[in-house]
Amino acid sequence: MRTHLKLAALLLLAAPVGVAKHAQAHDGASHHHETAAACASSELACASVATGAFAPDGKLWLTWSAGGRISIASSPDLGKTFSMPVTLPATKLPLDDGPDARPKLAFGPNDRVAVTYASRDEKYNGHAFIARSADGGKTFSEPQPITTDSPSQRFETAAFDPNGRVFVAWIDKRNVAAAKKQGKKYAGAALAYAWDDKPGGALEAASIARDNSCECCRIAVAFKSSGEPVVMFRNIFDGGIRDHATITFSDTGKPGQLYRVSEDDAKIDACPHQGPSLAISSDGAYHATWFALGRKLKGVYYAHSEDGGKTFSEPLRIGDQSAQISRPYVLAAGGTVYLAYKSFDGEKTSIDLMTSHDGGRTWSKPRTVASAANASDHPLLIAQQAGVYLSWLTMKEGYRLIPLEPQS
Amino acid sequence: MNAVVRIASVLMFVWCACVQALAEPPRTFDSASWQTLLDGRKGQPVIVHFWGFSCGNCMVELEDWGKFAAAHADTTIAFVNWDRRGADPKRIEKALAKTGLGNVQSFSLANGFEEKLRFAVDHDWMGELPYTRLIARDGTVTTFSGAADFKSLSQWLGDGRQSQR
Repeated sequence: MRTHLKLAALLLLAAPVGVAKHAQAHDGASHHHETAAACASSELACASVATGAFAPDGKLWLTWSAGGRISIASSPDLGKTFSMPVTLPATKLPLDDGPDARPKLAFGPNDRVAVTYASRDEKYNGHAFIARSADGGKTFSEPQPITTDSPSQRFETAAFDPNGRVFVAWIDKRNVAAAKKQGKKYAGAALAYAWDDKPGGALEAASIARDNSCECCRIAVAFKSSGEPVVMFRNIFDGGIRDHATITFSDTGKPGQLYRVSEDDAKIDACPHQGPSLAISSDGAYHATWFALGRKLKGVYYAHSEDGGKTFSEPLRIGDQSAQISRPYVLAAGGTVYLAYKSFDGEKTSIDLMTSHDGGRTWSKPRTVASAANASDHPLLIAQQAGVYLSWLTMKEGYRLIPLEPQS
Repeated sequence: MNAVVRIASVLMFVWCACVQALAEPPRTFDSASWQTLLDGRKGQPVIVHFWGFSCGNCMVELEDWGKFAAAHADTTIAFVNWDRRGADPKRIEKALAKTGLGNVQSFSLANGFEEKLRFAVDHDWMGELPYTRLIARDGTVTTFSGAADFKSLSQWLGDGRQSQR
């Protein structure tokens, strides 16, 4: 019995050692906390992501995430100066800071603006919100969740159709939770969407456009000239193949058939954290660019479709393969297709641009239009009547709006 | 005596729980860290696994990694958290300890220029997670993205040739 008591005493003595060791973790954390605290305000200077868009009057608007808040401001001089920002109420959970997450804004008729963004919990379950303005962005309504009864919504994207109805699409996990309750397996998440019940109204209940999408990548939304949205996203095909697909919505607002963009053969249970980009030119062609992580294709690719997404051209590999090509973005304007992407040479990140004047059949040689020797956001392309611009936030130089000339 | 045994069992349980809860605080993974891992291997194979809380597929296989680490306690395994905006070091410790990975070398991505740090690890790595690098005895590095095949990993460790998977 004495032996047992000795053993118990020894065990008691052993426990506090662990507590002392554990305390070191707090010291280890201090570096991160200091860094965050050094730039904790909601100013643009502290932003890690910023999304630009032009209003119908040609004015630049920007929304960004900084200091745990979403802010929105306009610029009268193409990004040199910004108005006093409107800062939306703080979310209960931290803002979604995943590699492909960002706040976004869209402009509709009659001075209407929609801003979407998400917060997330520790397991990266997102809670997406929409805030609306009816006075051209001077004031915003109380942000509303984009849906109920869903444990997670991420990569939300809102856009106005030509009739002024808001269309929102996102990646949703309600069917993941339902399957789990039933003890069933469910790969990935789902592509969900909701429309305004009427122009300027409230969002209708969410619908699922497609089960089993990749859960960790942004989605792309573009509108056909006839007004129907087209969504491009990383789908999970039979056999767990995470290749890209498009769904074109009908004129009644319902999702149409899913078509595969390319056969990357991405059989991999990994999070690429790199979603696609899609543009539709005035001739109705779809222009798609994406990051492939497949057994057949790996890298950044471009393809176009002239039959509403049913078939796509042979994927064209983009960029110098030794330069870590990433984050492609495509835009079609004025008869030209613009494609920008990041490359990295070991010291600096460059944004390279290619243009096509024949609907994506042939392309100019890439040209570097901007570079940065520190961390930077993804490159985005935005357009107004006067031209096309690169919208890019970099850590050292701040926000940059760079006019782009089409290349011959 | 029965009571004492029970107390001892309870204390043993508490002690084990304490031990399991322990993990080294993650060290910052900077531009020199990959080379340090290479230099420090002393002719032994090393497994370096990049993971993130932002990656559901990573979290799903942590427990399997824990079992693998327990079965290969003499192997150097490093876990590098690659959440780009910086994960809470305490959460990293907790997640690793909970899944039996309290004894692996733990790192977390330094703040700042992620592209440059990633380039220093591998020019071809596009940031997908999970991502694993295997350093063989002769310094040959092989990589794979996505879920690990632990049977193959065990073979790689046991196989003197440590050929590519």
